[in-house]
Amino acid sequence: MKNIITKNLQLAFVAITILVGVTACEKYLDHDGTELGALAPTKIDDTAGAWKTYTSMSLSEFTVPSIVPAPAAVTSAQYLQEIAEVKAEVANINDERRDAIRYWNGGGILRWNQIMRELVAKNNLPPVENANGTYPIPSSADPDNLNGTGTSFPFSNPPYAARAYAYVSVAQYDALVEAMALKKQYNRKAPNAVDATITPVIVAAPKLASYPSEDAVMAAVTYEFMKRLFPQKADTLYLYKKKEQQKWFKLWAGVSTRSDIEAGERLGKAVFAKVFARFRTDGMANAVGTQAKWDSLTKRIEEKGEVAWKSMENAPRPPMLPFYGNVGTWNMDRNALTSISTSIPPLATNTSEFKAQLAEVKSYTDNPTRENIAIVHYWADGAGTHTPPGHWNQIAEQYIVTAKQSEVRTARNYALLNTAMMDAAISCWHTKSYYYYPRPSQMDNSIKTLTGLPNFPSYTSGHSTFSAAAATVLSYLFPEGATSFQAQADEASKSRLYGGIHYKMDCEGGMKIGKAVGDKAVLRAQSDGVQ
Amino acid sequence: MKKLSKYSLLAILLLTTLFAKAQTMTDGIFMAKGNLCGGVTYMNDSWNKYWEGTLYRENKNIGTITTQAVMLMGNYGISDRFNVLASLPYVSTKASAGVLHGMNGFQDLTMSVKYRLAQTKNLSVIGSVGGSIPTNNYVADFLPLAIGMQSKTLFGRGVLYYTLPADLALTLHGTYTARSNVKVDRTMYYSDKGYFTNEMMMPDMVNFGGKFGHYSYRWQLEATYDQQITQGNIDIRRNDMPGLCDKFDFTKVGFIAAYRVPQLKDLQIILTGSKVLTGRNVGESTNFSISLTKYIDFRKNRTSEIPTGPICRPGDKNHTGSMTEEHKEH
Repeated sequence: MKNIITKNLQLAFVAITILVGVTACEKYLDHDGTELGALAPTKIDDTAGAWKTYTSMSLSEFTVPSIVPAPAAVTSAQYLQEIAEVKAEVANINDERRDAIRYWNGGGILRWNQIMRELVAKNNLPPVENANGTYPIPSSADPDNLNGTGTSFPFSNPPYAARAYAYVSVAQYDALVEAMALKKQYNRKAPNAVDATITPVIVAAPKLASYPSEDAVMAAVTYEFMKRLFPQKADTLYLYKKKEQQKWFKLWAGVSTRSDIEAGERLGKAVFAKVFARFRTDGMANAVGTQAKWDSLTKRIEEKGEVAWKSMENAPRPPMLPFYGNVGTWNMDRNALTSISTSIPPLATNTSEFKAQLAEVKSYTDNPTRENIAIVHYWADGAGTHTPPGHWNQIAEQYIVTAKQSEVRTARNYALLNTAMMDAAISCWHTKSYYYYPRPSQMDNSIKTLTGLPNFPSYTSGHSTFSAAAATVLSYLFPEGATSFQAQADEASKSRLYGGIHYKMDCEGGMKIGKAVGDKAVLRAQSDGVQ
Repeated sequence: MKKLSKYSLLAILLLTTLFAKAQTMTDGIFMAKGNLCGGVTYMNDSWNKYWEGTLYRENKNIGTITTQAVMLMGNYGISDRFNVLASLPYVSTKASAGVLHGMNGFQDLTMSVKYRLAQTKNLSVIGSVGGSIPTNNYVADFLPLAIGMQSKTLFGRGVLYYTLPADLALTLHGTYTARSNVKVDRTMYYSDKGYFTNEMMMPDMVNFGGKFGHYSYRWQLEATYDQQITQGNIDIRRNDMPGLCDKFDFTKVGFIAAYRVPQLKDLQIILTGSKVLTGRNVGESTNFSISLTKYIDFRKNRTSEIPTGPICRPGDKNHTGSMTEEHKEH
């Protein structure tokens, strides 16, 4: 008996050792969450050329010879040469190109949104303090920190990210609207429709006219914007490779010609230039402020006899973009923004109501439940992530994919969502600097937080403002999800109270203001010509 | 008996991480058939400097991270050369500065079997396999204050135990640990790229090390050396928090001192200390522990010839531990 056990033990030992060895190979994830099936829109939205753009422009600006002039006829010698090139490329297909075709065939706007959220997460890390206790300020002139700036650029924190998502979405939408108008005007067929011997590789035969290429438009407008938002060498190279793939994949797949693509690229660049003009002058350059300006925020509150926010970091860090509240808005004018943002003042810190709210924060953090911690962490979207606006883009993605929306409609919906969230950020940051309210941990240093304590004033909650605005817009776009969006916004809002970094009034105030901001985006959505 | 303790928790950046690892799991000692050794360990691990990737730094917003653990451990002799072992720590963390909340709770149950594959005159060749499983849904994705990694593990280990004259002994051990991926509370994170999922991949780990010094039934004083290498190449990014899938590497030296107290029926007291000398994505931690262990012989019909308690020197009757309750070695 003993021998049998002993022998079997030896066998078992060898077997388990082998098993451990086998399971020990290269690790990977089966799904990284970027998987997208082939995009097959339920509606092609071929009238989208009439939709209202964000940037003022007319089609005649783009029909000039240097951008998208009338294309050569499909019977022309030049076009036949292009057809020959398409055939050659289709014949030259390889696995790398097949992978690229499958990737971009999931939807260009969806892909770029994923890429942007990835780059936001990559760059969303606060600068390290200098030896003397000051902090370097990221500089777009020295993105790789090669010239002594002391930190890389950007620090894609929530306000930065909200702006990035908004501008890229707007630029993509405006460019696609113009592309749709030009497609309709020129109505040139795709090469596989001209020459039936061309069989599309992986992709479906296009239902839209081919000239200019919408993929090249997206590639150009997005790349031009994003390389300025994420100018580090490695990021720009990454973006360039993605751009080149999207630009050419439909030629490799047999459904676009070189002139379709080159016209699309020129259009993308032209629309980029117009949107970028607004970007450069929207007030972001003054959002950081200076020591004197930061001090004046503190002084203004202290002169009122109130407690001013101060950084709880060591060394104390300047507030995150405290003058972002002055950046230009999308869906309302400045007066409307100021009015919305200062409509609900916070409690004075010497009131019993305030003390009760402070005690409530502490009660959530003293003995946190596992369920509450899960909520805190699910919605934290802090440093190193795609931020709360990124999270709401992720939520929107599921609905866009399920609804099988066309590229231009996807762009429009992201533009509505992301302009609303940028307005939410502007409004919330306006409120934060206006009241400059201390965080719970500043008022009671025994409050230990379950997520990172954001380095800017408490009132109102950014998560609440973002989430209410996003839920309002998404509920308009996807009424079937309204109940879920609202429940998620409520949970995102409460997560900040559970985490010990916000009072209830921050969350409630943020929800109300966020809803008002979202309503303004819905007003636009109701009048942009989209059915 | 064994020492249960020891470098139990690997001082990972948060330390957290840790597999609580009883010393017996990596040494050459076996409990005699029918004997159970049980014990309790208190462990304290702290650091105020760490390696962010390979960059050595401090962080005034966390100050000193202290991890304390109380671990229960058991080791039962199915035969003189085949033991089963189990351990379960309760872990508590805190940061001395900043506002981040500490964590506490029961961590992972580790179980293993250990088998003496071969025995020459002075050399034991030992194999061990085992695994660990989280005992509850504690928060893992909160380094460096999480109490553990939430990963299920499976490990295989080899141990060489070489006894020398004058009660000296040399032990070498190596372990390969396969770790399951982990589900976290969030659905987006960035490590080597962006992931839009709540699943994190956990690279496997290799641990090896050794110890040398005096080892006898009554006394133990040994110097220890340990090395951990985590597969993959994911470092903490500049000024980021650590992630579960990071490359947690370290080199650590320390000591073990133990004594069985005759007046307390050979209750064993074990002290250990260790210090991380160099690392990557881990704290430069200082670790100490104290353990109390006791063994019980469950056999009804013992004869004076069979070993009782720990078999400290296989094949050497003078060092096999007490032969009976009445004939303890002095």
